[in-house]
Amino acid sequence: MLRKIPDKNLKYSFIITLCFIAAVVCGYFIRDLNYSREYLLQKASKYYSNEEHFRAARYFTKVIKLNVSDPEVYKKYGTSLLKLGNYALAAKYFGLASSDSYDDDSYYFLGAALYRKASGPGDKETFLQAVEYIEKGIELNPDSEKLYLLAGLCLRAVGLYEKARDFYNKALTSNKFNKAGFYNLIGNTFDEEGNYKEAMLYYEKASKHDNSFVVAFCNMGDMFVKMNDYESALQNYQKALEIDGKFIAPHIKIASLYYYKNNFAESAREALKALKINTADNEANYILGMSYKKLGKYKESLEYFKKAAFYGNDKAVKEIKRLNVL
Amino acid sequence: MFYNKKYLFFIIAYLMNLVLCFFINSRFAFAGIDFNLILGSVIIYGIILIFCFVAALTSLCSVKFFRRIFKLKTNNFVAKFLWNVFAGFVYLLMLITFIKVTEY
Repeated sequence: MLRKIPDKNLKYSFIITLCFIAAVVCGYFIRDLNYSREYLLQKASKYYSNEEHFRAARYFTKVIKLNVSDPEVYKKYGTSLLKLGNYALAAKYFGLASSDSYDDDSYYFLGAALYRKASGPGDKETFLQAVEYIEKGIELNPDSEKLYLLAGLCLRAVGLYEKARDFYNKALTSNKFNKAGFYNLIGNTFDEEGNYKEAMLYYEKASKHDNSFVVAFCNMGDMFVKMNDYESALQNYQKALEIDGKFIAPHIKIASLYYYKNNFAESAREALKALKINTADNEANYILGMSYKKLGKYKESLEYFKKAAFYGNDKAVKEIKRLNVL
Repeated sequence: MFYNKKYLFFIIAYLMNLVLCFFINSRFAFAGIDFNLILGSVIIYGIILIFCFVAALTSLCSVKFFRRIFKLKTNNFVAKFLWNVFAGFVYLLMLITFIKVTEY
């Protein structure tokens, strides 16, 4: 066929191109034949243990293409995929690993993969499937705190608060976990249900169990805000600050409390205190911007809205547009 | 290389680039990164062409400089040289990318 081409330049160009393509294809297949499973597995395991999951997953992909159907490989590949955020594929490979080889960690990872897979579309069935696996993990190891936490997250995501509380209460029977944390979580489930008084009881239990558990005091403050008792809310936030002065959340909550009580000068002062702890906090920047806006300091407010927007606060973007119109 | 029918070179190079993008795509697929093959190939093709054109121009300038030093004739030299070096670089760059993308 090439002989029929009259143009010499064109003929040689075709010959060179065909040789180039042939060389590349042959090189690819020869190289592919030379890779041994052991070498690839060794590389994959090395990257896996170094927590370089992108590289590890690359090698595991190749290993699996070479028909290695070892459950341990599937589990490790699934873990790498989970760390990379490919939850659907992670769940698939955890599912492929035979359940005989599962330990509590495997069930946790499988549950976590399914939880994250379901989180986007809010798929109830997948959440419940995740809980089934987590329950199996708990059967194997009733002292694994992360399993209880994950089960609670899955059940709360689908609104099954009573069941979530069952898991948290089960965890409370163990002496190995931080009880204050689980009381606080039970409080959260009541809060999500809108049962603030019951939530308050559990936050109080959490704070009594552990005097230094700042989150419980913040949550109690939140409950008082929801029940329109601002004075008690303020007292709880201040208690939280007494325990840990470097905890940013109470400062922000106090700032927003003052803001809603139209005390903008105090609100700005608290927001500035919060920003001393973390200048990159978008909420603190936003509240400070709002307080300055109410105080008529538009230039300063624009500056803090810009910072808040930069750190991901959507409300600040709207405020910038409004201020630019003004 | 395809000096008299340059459009053929561009078509063949694009088709090779499409295959290259298929391998790049499969390389990242496990991480949940899935890019549009056509759009991705056009972007990568553009980058390869620009990079090779700049490289070819640089080579041309340096060759011209040496030719001037050694006082060699430069008649009918520039266009053909530029094209051949450019085409060579495109093939070479695709080969290097392919090796890097498919190596384990």
